[in-house]
Amino acid sequence: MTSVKLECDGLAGVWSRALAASLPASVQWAERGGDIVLIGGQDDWAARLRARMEAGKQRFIVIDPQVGAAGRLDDTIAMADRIGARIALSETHADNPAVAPFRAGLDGVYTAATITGQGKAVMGDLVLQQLRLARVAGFVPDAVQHAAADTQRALATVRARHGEESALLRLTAVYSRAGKAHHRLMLHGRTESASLHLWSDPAARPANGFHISEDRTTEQPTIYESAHRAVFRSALALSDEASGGAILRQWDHDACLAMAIAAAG
Amino acid sequence: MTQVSEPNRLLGVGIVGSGLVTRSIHLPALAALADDFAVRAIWDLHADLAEATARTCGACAAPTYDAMLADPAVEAVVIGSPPAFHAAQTIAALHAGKAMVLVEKPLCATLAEAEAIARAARETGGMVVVGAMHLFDPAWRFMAQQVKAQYSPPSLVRSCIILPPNGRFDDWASEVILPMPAPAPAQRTEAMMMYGAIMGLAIHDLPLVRRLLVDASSPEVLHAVRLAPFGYMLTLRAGDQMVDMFAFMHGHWRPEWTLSATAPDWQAHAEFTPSFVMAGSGQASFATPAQVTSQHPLAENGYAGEWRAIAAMMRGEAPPPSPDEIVQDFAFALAIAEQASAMIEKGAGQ
Repeated sequence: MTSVKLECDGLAGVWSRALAASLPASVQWAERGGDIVLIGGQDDWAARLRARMEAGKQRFIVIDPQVGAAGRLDDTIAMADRIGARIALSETHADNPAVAPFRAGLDGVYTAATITGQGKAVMGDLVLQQLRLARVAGFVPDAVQHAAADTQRALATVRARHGEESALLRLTAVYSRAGKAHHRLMLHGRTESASLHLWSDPAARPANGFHISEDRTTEQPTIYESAHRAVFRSALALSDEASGGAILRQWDHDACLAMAIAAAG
Repeated sequence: MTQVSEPNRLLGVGIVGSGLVTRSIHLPALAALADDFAVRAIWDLHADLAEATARTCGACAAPTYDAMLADPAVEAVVIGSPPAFHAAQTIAALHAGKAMVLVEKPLCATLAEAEAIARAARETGGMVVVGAMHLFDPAWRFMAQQVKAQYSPPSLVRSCIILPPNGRFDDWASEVILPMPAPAPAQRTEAMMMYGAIMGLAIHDLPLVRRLLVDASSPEVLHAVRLAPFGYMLTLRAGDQMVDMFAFMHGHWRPEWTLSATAPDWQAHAEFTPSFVMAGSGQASFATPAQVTSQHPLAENGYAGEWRAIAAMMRGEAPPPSPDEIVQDFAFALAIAEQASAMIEKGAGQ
């Protein structure tokens, strides 16, 4: 059995130990000399990622990269391109293993998508979580049509593309310590709808997804796996071969939109 | 004004209009409250429809509206005609001495009409209730009670109405007694469609939204998008609070009708049953960082609550509705509809 060594940079010990315990037995944790470096997504994550690349590392997983790095990734992207770094992002909502089958089950023309959510994260991060979820679900965010936001809430209408069609994304995010933090994506078409409800904690709490057509509803099977475990398994299997620079560029586009929304006033 | 009725005596009801709302909502709700109400008369511009509807509930078909108003057995009048007729019919009922007028939403067509209705209510002592059934739904009552007990107002209010076309509910709620006369074909602009969506659909929950706002006197529409075939996305600001309004009518089976209010330390949420069907009340929850409490669905929905409240008001067991309040509700909705439709007219929202 080939083992893969993971090395952490900027991750809380308890969190990484709990995650490690859930990973396949072939994964080992290393103080240094890891095959893959896990980068905690706090605001200085881009600088730490760059430093690790300068130190000769090639493969990375960035855990929930925070929006503070938006618009400041040019050097990091250039370096990733130069050294051919393999970078995966592991985002609690967008990478939830329920999102891909949800997208695969879409069968209709959806002219609007609403994402409502709440949590204790700063507003830019709440909005970014929504934009990233939309993208992975098949709605590519393009430009902000209108936004109104402050530290307590954000309401935004974003132009997006869903396949060949244009669509509107409606983002509603609110800061609240009450109830469970979550996001819910709902897609609206003339004869179809679809809904995906995701919790925001890193546990393997199952998403609730369903697709609705004229006279029927199909519920998605429950998946008891967290986003991070799913991303790690994928990275360990070397199944994600996208270039690190391209991944960071796409993230930066969404993060800049999120920042523009959160700062709209 | 008709004297407030003594306890235990049946309160006579006259209904203007014999369409789906009368047949699927008011007649079943009144039938369930047969210890309080008896439908005495129905009047409709289409006499054959009025006759057919009246036969189903043991009432008589009034030959004219004036004849219905002249009938002393009619103490409460339901105005279920198109909104353009609401003001004149409501004011006529009040001046005829009727104790109660239940006007379907929207109250009327203009702010001047709303003020005239309130003036007539004050002058005659008659009562006017607008048929905003969710105001009387146990889910809203639970939600409102919880919100009222909080120190901080909600920073965000969200109204979401996702519905199949009304026709989908017809067969579950009533039946077509006689074919309705076809409406005249109308050329409607995008701005008119937006206005109609707000005054026809959003109007259901705007009174609830208004009650969640600290200062609802000057709502500002920041952005408006009309969704085809029927719906809207609205961003509103009222003082320091923001409101997200979303509605979409689709072609499949699944309705979803919710209202939520969120503050940093609490969240209230209600889920309502669709209009027309007698599916019981909505359900509601109230969350804090520590716990969630909930109101389960109850047997009686907002329509029943509306009529129970009317019975209590007519018998003097509950305070009469405030004429100022119905004007404020209407002015709030009208301000939003006018701003949003103007925005669409200018192409600013799309």
